[in-house]
Amino acid sequence: MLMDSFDKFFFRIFPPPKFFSAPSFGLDISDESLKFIELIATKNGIRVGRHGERVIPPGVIESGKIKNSKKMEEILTLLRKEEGVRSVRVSLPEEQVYLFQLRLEKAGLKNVREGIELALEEHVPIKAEDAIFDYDLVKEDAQSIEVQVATITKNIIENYLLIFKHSDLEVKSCELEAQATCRAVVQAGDKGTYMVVDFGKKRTGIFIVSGGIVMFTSTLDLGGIMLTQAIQKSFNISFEEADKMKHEYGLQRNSANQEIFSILLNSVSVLRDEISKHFLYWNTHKDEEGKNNPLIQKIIFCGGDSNLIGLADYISVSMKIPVEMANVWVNIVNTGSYIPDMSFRQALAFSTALGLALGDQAN
Amino acid sequence: MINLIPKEEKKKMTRGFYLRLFVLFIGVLNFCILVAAISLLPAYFSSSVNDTFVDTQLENQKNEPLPVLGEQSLLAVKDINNKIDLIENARKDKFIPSSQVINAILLEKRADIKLTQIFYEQGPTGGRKIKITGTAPSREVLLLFRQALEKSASFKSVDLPISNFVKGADIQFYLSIVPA
Repeated sequence: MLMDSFDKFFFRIFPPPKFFSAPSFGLDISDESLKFIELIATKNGIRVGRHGERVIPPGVIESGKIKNSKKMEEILTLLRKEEGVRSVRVSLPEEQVYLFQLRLEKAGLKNVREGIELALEEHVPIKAEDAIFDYDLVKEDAQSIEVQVATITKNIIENYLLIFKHSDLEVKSCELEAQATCRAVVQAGDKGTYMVVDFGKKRTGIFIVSGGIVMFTSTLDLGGIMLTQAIQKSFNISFEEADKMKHEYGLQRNSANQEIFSILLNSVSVLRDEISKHFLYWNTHKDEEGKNNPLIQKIIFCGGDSNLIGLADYISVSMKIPVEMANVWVNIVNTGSYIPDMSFRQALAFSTALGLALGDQAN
Repeated sequence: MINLIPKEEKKKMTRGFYLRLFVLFIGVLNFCILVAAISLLPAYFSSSVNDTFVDTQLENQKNEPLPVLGEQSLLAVKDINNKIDLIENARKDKFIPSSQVINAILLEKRADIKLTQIFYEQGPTGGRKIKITGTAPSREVLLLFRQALEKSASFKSVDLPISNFVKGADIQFYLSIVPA
């Protein structure tokens, strides 16, 4: 602890040269867009550098799989040229990554990696030689160790890396989207158990983080666009108008927007049901030893469409659990002394990219 | 932190890190050498100018005729030469005050007698004398000291002039001894 504080103080006074530290951008790639952000370590703390969003045309990426490599290369090359991006930390979509917990007996265990490799095919439908995996240590006792393993097919990673190589971008890390999001929204060192809901445009990620490690992830094909489309269809208006109405009225229950409330409620209740299902599963599920999981203390909302008026209150009241909007700056800046040039809604949408960029500071 | 990058890529990144570290080390080393060279330049120029100046002075001095010695200098040289001769002759006669003689005097000296001077003298005929001056608290003590010296085998004769006994106490005496 003391050494950590000393290290932080030392590197704040004597930051490593740019050439040596090679700062990287957080790059959050989804089916519809690519968000990038740079965090710069200065003497006054971390500051937000270049950031932005590029639209990815339909058909280039589908459910996390790159379908049109050439087009993706063009987008990344343009990003490098326009923004001066050199190295990046990339998120991998939940659909492509398998996450599971594994207990390894210490007796006869020479190498944790070998132990995981031997047990891999029992947990994921990928052959060990076709898989790329990494792990985090969850807990350890005299007899065994428990690890959280993330696995992905070699082809997908190689495909990603090849595209970045052709675009002259150095990839420093490929992380689980949930891991990056949780790094941004959960305070560093907080060992509590929380459910993080990343409510995006087309997809919603539900993650459970406990002891600082992502223990569970799930993705729903439900996002803010569906809510906008529901309003558009009901009122027979343009998409832009519907989006404006969605953000203006949200889930406020009053006479002025009774109709919008009813329309949005149909979609939001689906989200509530899914959250509730995972919430109950986690809180009632027992591990291999028959022990209960630590109870979820609160739900943290992030993602571009999570700032919908009344959404947090609705989930909180219906599930009887504290729900709060994420503070994506909690591990980055002290907002009392510095306000990043980014709106609250935009910051929520950048939570994964910020978490990825924080990887530089974590190392 | 879970990082799903293949092992080979991670190794490449580690190699890249060490390469950057090496390049940085070389860069810093070069910079240090440059700074050291620049900071030493004024001292180098200053010392090279001084060196040239001293060489020129030396060369000029070599070319200058030797100065003619004056009257006073010649006298001083003559005096020094005489003194050197004296010392050298003294060494030839081998009249070197013997520690044995001093020890013999000190052995016979009483505690209340204080010696203030010891002279060695060589006569023109080659006879050697030791003259001692000092103070004695009383006539009796002085007499005892003389008797003790007379008894010593180291001395041929001891001459204590009677005038030394004029004072009764705190006598300043003068003694002449001929070593054996």
